[in-house]
Amino acid sequence: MAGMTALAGTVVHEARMAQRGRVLWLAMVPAVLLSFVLGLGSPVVGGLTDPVARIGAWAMLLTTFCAPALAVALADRFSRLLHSRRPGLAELLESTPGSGTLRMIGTLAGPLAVGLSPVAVVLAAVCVAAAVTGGAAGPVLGAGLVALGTIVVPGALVATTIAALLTLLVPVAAARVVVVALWFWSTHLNTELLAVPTLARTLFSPLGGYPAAAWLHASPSWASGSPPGILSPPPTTPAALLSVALVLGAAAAFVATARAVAGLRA
Amino acid sequence: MQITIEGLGKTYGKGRRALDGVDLRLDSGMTGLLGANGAGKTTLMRILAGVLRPTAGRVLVGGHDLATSAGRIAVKRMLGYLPQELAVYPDLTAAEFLDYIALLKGIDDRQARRRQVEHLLGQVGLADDANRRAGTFSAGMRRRLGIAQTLLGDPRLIIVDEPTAGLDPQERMRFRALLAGLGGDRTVILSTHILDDVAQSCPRVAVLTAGRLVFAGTTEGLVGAAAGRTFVVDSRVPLGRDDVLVNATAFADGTRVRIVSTGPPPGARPVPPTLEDGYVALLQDGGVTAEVAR
Repeated sequence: MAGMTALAGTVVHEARMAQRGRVLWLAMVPAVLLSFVLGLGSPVVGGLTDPVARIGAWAMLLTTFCAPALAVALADRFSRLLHSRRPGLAELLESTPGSGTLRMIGTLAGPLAVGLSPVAVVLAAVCVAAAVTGGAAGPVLGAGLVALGTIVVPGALVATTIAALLTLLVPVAAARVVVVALWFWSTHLNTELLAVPTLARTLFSPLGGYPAAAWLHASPSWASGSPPGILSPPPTTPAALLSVALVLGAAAAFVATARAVAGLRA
Repeated sequence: MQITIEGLGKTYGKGRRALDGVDLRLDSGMTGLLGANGAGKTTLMRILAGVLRPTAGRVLVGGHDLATSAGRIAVKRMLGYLPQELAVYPDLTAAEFLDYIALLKGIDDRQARRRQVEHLLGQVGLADDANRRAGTFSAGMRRRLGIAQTLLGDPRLIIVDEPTAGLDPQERMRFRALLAGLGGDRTVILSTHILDDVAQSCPRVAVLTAGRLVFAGTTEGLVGAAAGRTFVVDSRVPLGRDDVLVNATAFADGTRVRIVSTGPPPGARPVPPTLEDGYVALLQDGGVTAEVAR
């Protein structure tokens, strides 16, 4: 019970601090605007006639730019628990009875929720537009929630957790550069242009291609490569569920690793 | 609540020994912890607060062993801790900062939290600034906010490291009154360089030198270490090698110095010792140089 109280407190107050700070907005506003402009002008996003497919495409576009932006903005979440730029704060937090792991989760979850709010607003606007231009409100709303829950949130979560973990191992600036490179390597690397192994178009890709293709009428090419392989099976519902579970599992593994690293360094 | 420390040692990287075989027993009430910079006071406080692990020895706080995870959590549940330096979150108001720490301490009742926050902000003279962001506070106001967070949850164990550093005289007096008013069976450990704070507040005192405990007893006992060895003498009189200068006061007819000495110079006038004199005498007896003692 006390642990949950501490977690709730951390989420609420860290969210409040992130919302009042500048860093999050300096990263998120350009990313959301860029996604918005590209989506409006793109025939493979804004030009889609199927409202559900359009929502899926918008979700992937928003995730493409907003997840790394969030990761860059929130990269210092874990490291500041260990060696805060503010003397004594890390020590004070450590002297409270709550679990360090829950504190880590709250420190990330609160600001993440704040950072994702403009993404949710854009996605909601896309859903409203899709409903107005011919889609039935029920399926469109359902598609919006599926897109948020299986594409946007898992992608943002895995990007920010790996960035936060990296800052325990390398300087924050380096972690930010590495996470952006990792993100585009794992989501958009075109192996026809650069013949290197990649997670893009596999079950492990955090872009959300599998849920988009399986549930939101997106092109199967967003999910599996051609030809399909063990790591890139056809985008069925079980494959999409597995992909989401793998991405969320990776985020949990990054938090667990960060906790272990923090324990060693404390 | 009793704290038992047995053979406590802490060695940092590169073999730097901060604490070396400290044995100490602390009972309820206030204990002042004294020592020069680097004597190991902060290390001891951090170990007692459960934020630092010792490399040797054992600590029992109210029967809870700090070597175990369960013991540390149990101690943290009854702890109020003020680190030596405490910067606050600049984007939170004073009330929000206290609310955050109260939640971390597990105070889940919203009304109880609000009452405590308002009460403590009043206690430290920040009631009118409750809704101001802490980033706009002066150093003294931030220190007072730090003191307020220490008292959240009515802790039975209070560990405060240099609590009055940066406070003006009025704020220091207010803090001393606040601590004195806590009463009950609390155990309060106050580490400070300001001996006057200890003299006014703490019936017991412990002194660390170079990581070792050199004194543990009553404050009067430490004062008594300088009994018969404290003198005032004209500053023009040359001091002996073993005389330790405690302070100097300028008067219209010249400057007089206060010294602790085993063989006073000619013309020295004996005076009743203070805690400062006792502390100096103790360090003198321990072979510490006059430079450290000053």
